[in-house]
Amino acid sequence: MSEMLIQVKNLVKHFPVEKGIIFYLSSKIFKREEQVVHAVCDVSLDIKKGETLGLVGESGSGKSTLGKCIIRLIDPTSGKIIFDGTDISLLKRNELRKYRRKMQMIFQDPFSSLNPRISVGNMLKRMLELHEICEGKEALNRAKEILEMVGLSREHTNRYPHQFSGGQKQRIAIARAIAVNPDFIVADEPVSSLDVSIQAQILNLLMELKERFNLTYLFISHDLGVIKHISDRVAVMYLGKVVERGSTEDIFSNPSHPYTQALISSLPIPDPEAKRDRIILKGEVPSSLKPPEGCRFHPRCPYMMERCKKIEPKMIEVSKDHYVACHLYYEENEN
Amino acid sequence: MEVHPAGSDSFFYEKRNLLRIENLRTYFFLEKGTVKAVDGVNVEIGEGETLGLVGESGCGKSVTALSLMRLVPYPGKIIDGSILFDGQDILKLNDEEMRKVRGKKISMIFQDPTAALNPVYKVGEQIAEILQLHEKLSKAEALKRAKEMLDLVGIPSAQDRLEDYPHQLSGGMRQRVMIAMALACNPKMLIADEPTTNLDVTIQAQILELMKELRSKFSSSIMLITHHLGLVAEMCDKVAVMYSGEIVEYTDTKTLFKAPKHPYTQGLLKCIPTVTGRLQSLFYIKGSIPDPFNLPSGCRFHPRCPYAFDRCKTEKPELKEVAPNHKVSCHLYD
Repeated sequence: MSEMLIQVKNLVKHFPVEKGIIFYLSSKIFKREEQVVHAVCDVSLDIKKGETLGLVGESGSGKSTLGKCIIRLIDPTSGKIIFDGTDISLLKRNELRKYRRKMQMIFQDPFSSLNPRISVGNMLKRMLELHEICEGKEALNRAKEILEMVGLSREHTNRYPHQFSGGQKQRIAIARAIAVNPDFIVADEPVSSLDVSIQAQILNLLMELKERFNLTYLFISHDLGVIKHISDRVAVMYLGKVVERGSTEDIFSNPSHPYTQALISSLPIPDPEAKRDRIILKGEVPSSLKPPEGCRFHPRCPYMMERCKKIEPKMIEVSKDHYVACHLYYEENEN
Repeated sequence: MEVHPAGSDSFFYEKRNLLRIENLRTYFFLEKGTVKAVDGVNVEIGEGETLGLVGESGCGKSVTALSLMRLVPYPGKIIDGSILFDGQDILKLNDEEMRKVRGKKISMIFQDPTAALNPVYKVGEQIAEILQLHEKLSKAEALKRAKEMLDLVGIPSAQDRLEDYPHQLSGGMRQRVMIAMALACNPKMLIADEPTTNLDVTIQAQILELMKELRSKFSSSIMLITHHLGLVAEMCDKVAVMYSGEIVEYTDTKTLFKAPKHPYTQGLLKCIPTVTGRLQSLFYIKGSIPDPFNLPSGCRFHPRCPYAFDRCKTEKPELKEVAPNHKVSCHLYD
């Protein structure tokens, strides 16, 4: 259980804003600094075998980019990704293929992530053949079995994606992810496009499959309720940085970073009589083109100190396996 | 109007009704068949009151709102019912008269501010236009008021923002501009269609706080359309739960969350994962929403209902008062 499946070390991903030769030349001639979006900045994480790590953050905080970097759908700018003991961050495409089988992804929007021209059965069959698991009739039979596992019926193999409802499409996306017997699945907002009653079905299915196939999840969501429900541990991201990580209990009952505190307090509670001590943050998430200096959260932070403006806080352990990047705690530990 | 002594918070009867929707039916006539998007909706909103309209996607919440504004897109048509606003049936108004109501007396905050704002006009001009039209202000005066409105909704350096185009603003800012536009003429009634769905939680909290503040300042009535029960608990005085074009439960917010009666409402409340509790497996409602072209007979919820019996399959339940101020359409309570 405690063995690490994924270790991410100092992962950085920058996206250049201006592309093409003209911009390149003009930046050389006029000595302009190249503009980059700092999507993921120096993130270190680990995911144990068989656990679910929840990744929360607001839009633009780099959650999806991090998820895609970990399974190498995007190449990271720098940093290391160690999958089951092997560094996969520098593997070439053909070497990567055998790892692709072990890492799969479920995308947010099942409407655009399924090919409308391929029937569901064929889609799964092709996948099984590509990864050389089985072929022909056997693959088709296997496809039918997989569809049953995700709660669809065997007859659905001949249907096309548009013939399914949103919840069913997400089941197909899950079927595709589990078809090749992966060890690790990145689920990028798998339920955020679904209605509440369907959302619960899909969350249950994901948890059931995890038990059955001993899967490890990186579960990305902006919905704290969902994250709390499904995760063993949680990492909170803000503007490309992980600001706090720890066990689900620690994060929700004892949130330490001011951002996490605000995030949890701003969640609407479905109970009209619940007490609400809401921390309303000022301002909005700054642009990741020019992230603030020092601590990235300082312009919105209610406890901002002088040094937050200049010095970037490091991750420190406030209690066992509970890490926070905030100057408020730094002081205590220094003395 | 009769007063129910049992209902302690009986704002159903205390406040004067500002809006009363009676038996509203909006159908869409498509080649494939008729979609009964809104099928016999009855609700009323008192002055200064907030009504929550909840339901899953496709249940007819937004079409109800668009019907109120008389903005139902082709091939949709309001075929029956009346909408009494301030004593006047707005379904009987002609286009010219309706234009005077829209934006002035009833205004709407749309779900997606990116799509609802005009990309080729400056934000200031878009707000000013409403004031020029309805309040007959000069452009300079209107722009001045527009700046005041932006200040009001908490946009920093409002004077400069007037000159911005919508794409230059962030999502939260755009939503604030939408709210400023909706409130520019101080309307009596505000319809907010999923006002925070596209926003992040911390920004959502800001916008909700703003809406509450403005509600107490202007004492406008609000119809809040959402699928998020957390928002309803926080913002609304009373709630109508919609399923497949019909209202299945209608009561005040406290009662709805404490003692939901309709099996659909009970299911909805049970299946939200909350931060306050963790269960091993989430409760869920079986099946999915019915095909609008092929609605189930009898009660529209019966194929998914855990308590369905024979009568539910054949006979359609009516929305009846089962307790004071608590209306439910379900055969279980007959």
